[in-house]
Amino acid sequence: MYNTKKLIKNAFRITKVRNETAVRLRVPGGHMDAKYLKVIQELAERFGNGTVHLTTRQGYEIPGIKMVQMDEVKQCMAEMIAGIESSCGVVLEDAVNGYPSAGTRNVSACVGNRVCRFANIDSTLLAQKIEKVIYPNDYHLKVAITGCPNDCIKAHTQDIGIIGSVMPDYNEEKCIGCEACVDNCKKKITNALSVENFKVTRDEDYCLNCGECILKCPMGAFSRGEKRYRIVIGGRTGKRNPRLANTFIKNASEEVVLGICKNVYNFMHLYIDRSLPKEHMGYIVDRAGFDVFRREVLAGVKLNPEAKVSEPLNPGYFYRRRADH
Amino acid sequence: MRLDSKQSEAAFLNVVKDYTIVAPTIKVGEGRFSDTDIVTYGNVESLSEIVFDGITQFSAKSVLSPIRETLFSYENNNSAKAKDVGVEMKPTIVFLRACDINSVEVLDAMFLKNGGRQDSYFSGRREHVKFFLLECQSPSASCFCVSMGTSTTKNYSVFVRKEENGYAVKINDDAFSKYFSHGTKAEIEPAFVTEDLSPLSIPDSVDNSLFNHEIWKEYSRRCIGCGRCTVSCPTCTCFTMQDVPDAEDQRKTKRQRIWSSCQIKKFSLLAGNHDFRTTNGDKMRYKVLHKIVDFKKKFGFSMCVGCGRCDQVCPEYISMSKCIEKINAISVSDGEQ
Amino acid sequence: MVSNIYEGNEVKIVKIHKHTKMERTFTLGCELVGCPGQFVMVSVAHAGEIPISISGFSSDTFEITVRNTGKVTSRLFEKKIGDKVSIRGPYGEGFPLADFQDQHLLVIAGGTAVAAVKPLIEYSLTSNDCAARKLDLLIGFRSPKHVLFKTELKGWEKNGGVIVTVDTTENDDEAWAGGIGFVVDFVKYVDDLGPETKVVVIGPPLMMTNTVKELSRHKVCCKNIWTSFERHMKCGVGKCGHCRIRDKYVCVDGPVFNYVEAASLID
Ligand SMILES: Cc1cc2nc3c(=O)[nH]c(=O)nc-3n(C[C@H](O)[C@H](O)[C@H](O)COP(=O)(O)OP(=O)(O)OC[C@H]3O[C@@H](n4cnc5c(N)ncnc54)[C@H](O)[C@@H]3O)c2cc1C
Ligand code: SF4
Ligand code: SF4
Ligand code: SF4
Ligand code: SF4
Ligand code: SF4
Ligand code: FES
Repeated sequence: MYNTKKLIKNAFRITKVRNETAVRLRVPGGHMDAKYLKVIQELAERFGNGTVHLTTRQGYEIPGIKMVQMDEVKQCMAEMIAGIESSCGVVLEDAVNGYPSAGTRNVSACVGNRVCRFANIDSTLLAQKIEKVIYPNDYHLKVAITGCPNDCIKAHTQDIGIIGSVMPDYNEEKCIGCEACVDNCKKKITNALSVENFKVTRDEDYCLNCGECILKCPMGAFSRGEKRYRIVIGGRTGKRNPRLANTFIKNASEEVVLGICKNVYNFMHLYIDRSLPKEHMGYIVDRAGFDVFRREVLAGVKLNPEAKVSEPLNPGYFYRRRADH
Repeated sequence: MRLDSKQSEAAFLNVVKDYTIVAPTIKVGEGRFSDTDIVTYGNVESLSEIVFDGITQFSAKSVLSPIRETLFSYENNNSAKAKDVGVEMKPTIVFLRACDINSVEVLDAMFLKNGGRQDSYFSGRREHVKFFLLECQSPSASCFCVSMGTSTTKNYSVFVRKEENGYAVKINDDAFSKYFSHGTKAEIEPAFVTEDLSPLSIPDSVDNSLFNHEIWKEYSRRCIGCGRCTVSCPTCTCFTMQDVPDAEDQRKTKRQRIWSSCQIKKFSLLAGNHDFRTTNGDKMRYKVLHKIVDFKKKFGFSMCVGCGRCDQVCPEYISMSKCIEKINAISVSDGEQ
Repeated sequence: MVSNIYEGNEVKIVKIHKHTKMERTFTLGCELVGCPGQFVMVSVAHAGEIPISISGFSSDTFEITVRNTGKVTSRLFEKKIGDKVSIRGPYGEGFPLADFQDQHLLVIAGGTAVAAVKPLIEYSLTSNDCAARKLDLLIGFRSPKHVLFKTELKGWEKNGGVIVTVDTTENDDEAWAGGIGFVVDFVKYVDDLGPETKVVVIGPPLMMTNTVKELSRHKVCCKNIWTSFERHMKCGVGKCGHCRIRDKYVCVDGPVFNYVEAASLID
């Protein structure tokens, strides 16, 4: 009666209750106009069981929908999903038929510089730009954006995590040698700063580009240079081999970020294990090899001069697995 | 005088030929936080760059007392005596509000009078600086200049008001008449604030018992000793002196004076690690009493001019005026006992 | 043209006396007209500038006695006879010599601070017009090997009561015949203490407070006690703000303060 594969691709879920589904709404960047809450309320109360679940990926999931009403549901939410996607520059040509794909998960983001003092970037805006590059797409990929290395969105648990960074500009003429930046970096971060004769030096090799020296400086002697991004890859949870992501590229430009996000799908297309219903990017990298991954995702991407490509992935943590018998 | 926009910019262009102009201006994207701007003092070349309302993050004191100023240079390893670098400065106009014009008196007192000696670097700059007045139609949220007696001034060369179709100017100093001769005659008077949003009473003196009062413990918990309040303050003048080696040639050294502050670490540290005022509450007390009592005892007027910058920049939302209120309440109740 | 108040004068080091590993007296080859208790700003090229008390005056030289504690002092210790440093000063208010004239004067000093009272002692002993009637010295050091001005101490003993004590003789190879204990414990051995005795106390903060307490037990009047403050200093001339306590600048209004005033100056 229902084609489960099509239904899932359409962002509906096969649930515990036969003939009952739930719909998942994308909110790229986790930030949207408040007016859509009315639509969500209407969907939940008219078609669902009157409740809404906030997903870990910052979408809305509306449970308790009768499968027979799916077309009505899609009708009801069409304007909203088209609106949200168009704010990312994605055109849903057939919004009345719902989402064209659900494999690529909602691109989530911390609140970013729209609110947070630590943020180096507008996390939502970058999530929306990435959404435009990668959506719609069927491959299962998790991408999240965080505004600074505090990593509130947990970019380190994503296939691709983007961490907002900044190049701190130091102006000796404004520095009073108060050492606030040095002490803070030493206590809280990586001890990348040192001071001698009232002049601060920053060790690029250790600097996380978190921007806290800029926040701490009373004089504005450290100020904001270019926005940059740390791309971490291969993070995952799951049943076999959870692992935190590793830095792939430090201090990448936005162009590099977008280029890599796009290329990842090529890589997956070439190397995915088609015998499985789906395969996470990290497992594909493990199998195909980091060198292959690097070659594929950097194809045609022009690295900005400050960008530094890092070393292979860590092995992660394996659940104890019983020997074959 | 009234000048339309065109006339004003033309007049200003001529002023720029003869003077460096320092005025409140917006620096886009240069805020501490990502994608924020700041309004602060900077060099401007046209009237349109000037921001006429609001408080600047930093004051203009760096014009008279640069953040890092080279006093002497050592040319090689052998000489014990350093060469006086002196002051080179183009005549400069600074756009200031009444409180900030009054703040220059504090700088004068410190650099030209305190200790019975004159600081030649400061006086060298001071004689090149003229003030243009910015008016205050209404007080900003954190200022309290009326309470500090600094809300008005006559000490300016030219007053400039931005109007819908141009600018209105009042010329106090004949040297500037020639620049503004093309306008239409009009009697222009600057507005000054006449009432603070929350008027304060300033105690004349404080009892020594205040030193151990509970209020400083609260500040110890709140203040992080970052020094923002003092580096933004137009009247803080403290500095340190350091011999800084030349980046290119290590045999050369500059003796620089560099802003310092009683709020930052090592300000009073002695060799052997003995220190004074080791809690941030004690530092706060030292600062606030200097601002409202100690300086006044010496010079007859308060150091603080009520500009409100320290409130605006404090990351912990610590307010100078609230602290003054607390001190006043304590000294009044002490006086009654 | 305003003269430059931060500009020093080059002077030659004409003699260096090594008291201990850490302390040396440098004799500088120029005349300096000043008062006991005043200090100079000593500038070591490429290192920086520091306040140092004048530890001796003579007709064509003066002395400074320095403890090697940090950046500038260690660079000064690299200097040899014939090398030059730069000096400005003398600065500050010294001891009120007129108040000591024909009086019983007791000088209590600890460690390197003895350098700061040495000119006062010498002046009180030798001056014709302003000498004290009776001079007692109570001087403390950490241990025998830390004792400074050994020759001078011998000379002073000829002219007045001198008690030299060390905190301890432990871990010290030098023979010791003087007192052992803190100076405060030796105040009771000073003869004729009374309300009119003039006392100068100078040393580490704790030593000063304890000693003043002990003195009041012996009926010494607070207004007859003077002390010298040590505060972080950068300019020496009332500009940099580092040495300020309330409305007083230690470099200008001090370093010598009468105890009544000193007690009211809370940092
Ligand atoms: C009035 C006065 C008289 C003094 N007389 C003597 C003396 O006769 N002999 C002697 O050995 N020392 C004396 N000192 C102390 C001497 O100034 C310090 O030991 C010296 O400044 C340490 O400098 P540094 O660069 O070697 O040490 P660092 O620890 O590297 O000090 C860095 C800076 O801190 C400041 N500073 C540190 N300690 C002091 C301090 N105790 N007093 C003032 N500023 C300080 C100086 O600006 C110094 O350059 C006196 C201090 C004062 C205030
Ligand atoms: S950006 Fe962060 S890690 Fe780098 S120097 Fe500044 S505070 Fe330290
Ligand atoms: S916090 Fe700013 S002023 Fe202080 S040492 Fe660092 S750069 Fe210099
Ligand atoms: S203490 Fe605060 S209000 Fe007073 S002058 Fe300084 S910055 Fe302005
Ligand atoms: S408040 Fe502090 S920094 Fe400001 S002038 Fe006073 S002592 Fe100096
Ligand atoms: S009062 Fe505020 S601005 Fe001043 S040092 Fe404390 S925390 Fe910093
Ligand atoms: S040492 Fe600079 S004000 Fe006293």
